[in-house]
Amino acid sequence: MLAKKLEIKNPNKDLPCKFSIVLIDQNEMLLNLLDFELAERKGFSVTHSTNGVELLNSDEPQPDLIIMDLIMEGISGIEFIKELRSTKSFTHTKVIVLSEKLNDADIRQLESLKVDDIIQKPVNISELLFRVEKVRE
Amino acid sequence: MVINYSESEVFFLLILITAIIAATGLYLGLLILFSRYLTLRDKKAFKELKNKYSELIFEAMHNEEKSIVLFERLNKNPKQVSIVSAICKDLLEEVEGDVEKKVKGVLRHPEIKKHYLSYLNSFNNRRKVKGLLYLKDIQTLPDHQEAEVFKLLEHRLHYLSHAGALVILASKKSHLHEKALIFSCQRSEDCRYTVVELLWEYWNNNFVSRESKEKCFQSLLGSESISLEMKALLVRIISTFNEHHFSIYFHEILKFILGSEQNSRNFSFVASLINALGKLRYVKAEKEVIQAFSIKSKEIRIAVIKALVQFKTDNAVYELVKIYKTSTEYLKKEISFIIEHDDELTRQIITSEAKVNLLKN
Repeated sequence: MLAKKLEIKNPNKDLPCKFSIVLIDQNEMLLNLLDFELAERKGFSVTHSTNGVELLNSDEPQPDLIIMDLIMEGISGIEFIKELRSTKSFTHTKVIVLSEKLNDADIRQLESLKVDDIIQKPVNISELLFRVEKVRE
Repeated sequence: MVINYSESEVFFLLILITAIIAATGLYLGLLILFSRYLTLRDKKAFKELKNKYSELIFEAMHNEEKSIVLFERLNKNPKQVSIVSAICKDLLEEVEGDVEKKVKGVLRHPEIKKHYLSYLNSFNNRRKVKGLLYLKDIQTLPDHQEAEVFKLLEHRLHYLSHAGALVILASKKSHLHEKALIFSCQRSEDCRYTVVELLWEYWNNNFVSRESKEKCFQSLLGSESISLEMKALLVRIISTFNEHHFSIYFHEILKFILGSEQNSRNFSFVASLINALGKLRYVKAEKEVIQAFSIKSKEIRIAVIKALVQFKTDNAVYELVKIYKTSTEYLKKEISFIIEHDDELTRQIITSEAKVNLLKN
């Protein structure tokens, strides 16, 4: 793990780590950064992918939260959320969308799909962490 | 002369031709497979290299001591600087705040800086642009390069002049901002879209206060050396910043234009002001917006309708109905279309007296 190499202490490492997050974005570097902030600093269980389809077909236990970009491999972000919302096992999974340049119609569509939060890119990591905490409540 | 081949000779010839075709096909197939293998191998190696650098950048961002590893590696492989800067650039588009500062910190490292600053003296314009865009990304314009970059604004090649303007507008050099914008507006008449990028770069410059930016925009709109068509574009861009402060200024300009002589009006400019006032929902300008409907221009009249739809006051709804009743078929269609797609406005019309009038028509 990178955190081990960096010798950064996880302040929450003794806490039970139940809240699981899946990150979906095409930028690997951003995925690594978010992984570091959410897993190493906040103690969440984080996995990441550049592909939404993998998650829909996965047998793994469903995550508590998905943080995703609308652009992903294999499927459009909106289609992915629609699939997610129509799949029983993901009913309780919360979704935070990270995206660039959303117009009013996009926002309305995302709201109708019961997305929990929408964050415009470029992302401020501290703000994202705050919003994740809010969604967790 | 007729040559008679025996059956076995024909058979032999056919086999020979088939063998040649098969051999050529096999050779070409193998060649394609081999080149694909090479491409895949290169792609894989590049991906691995990129991942390695991502990891090193990540470490450098979080631990300054560890950055030595990254920069020693770059020192040995100066050609790979572009990989590091590409990764950092991608990341800069995704993040802001502390992480953004850290990424810029990595990009500002002397090893990378030295590489890109050498590009500025290159005769290759592509390299020169790369060097300039690097300076823009790290929001730095060294004093000794100030005059040289400013001179680029006059360059006959628009992309070089544009890159120079981007560097100035992203930097701390506030005394150059207004000059660079005015200059770029003057010379961008033929490719106005480039001004959009410049204005956004300036608007996102965190070294400059919002007040200074507002003052600069006011100077641009008041400048006589910028055409009214360009000013119409400026108003459209500025209104997308969603700053309500600008509405007051737009309102003042509209009042001034409506009070001036009819022939001195530029329809596109007036329409862009009305559109901006509507977008920013500056209801105080309602009177002037309605007054502007008397100008015989389709562009302005559609802008008035759109602004009234945004205002949604009782008076605005009343005026919309009035326009609907008295206008041409085209404007009627425009209003009907908007009402169909605006639930709130439809509700307002239904609950207002205007409903009766609208339904009658």
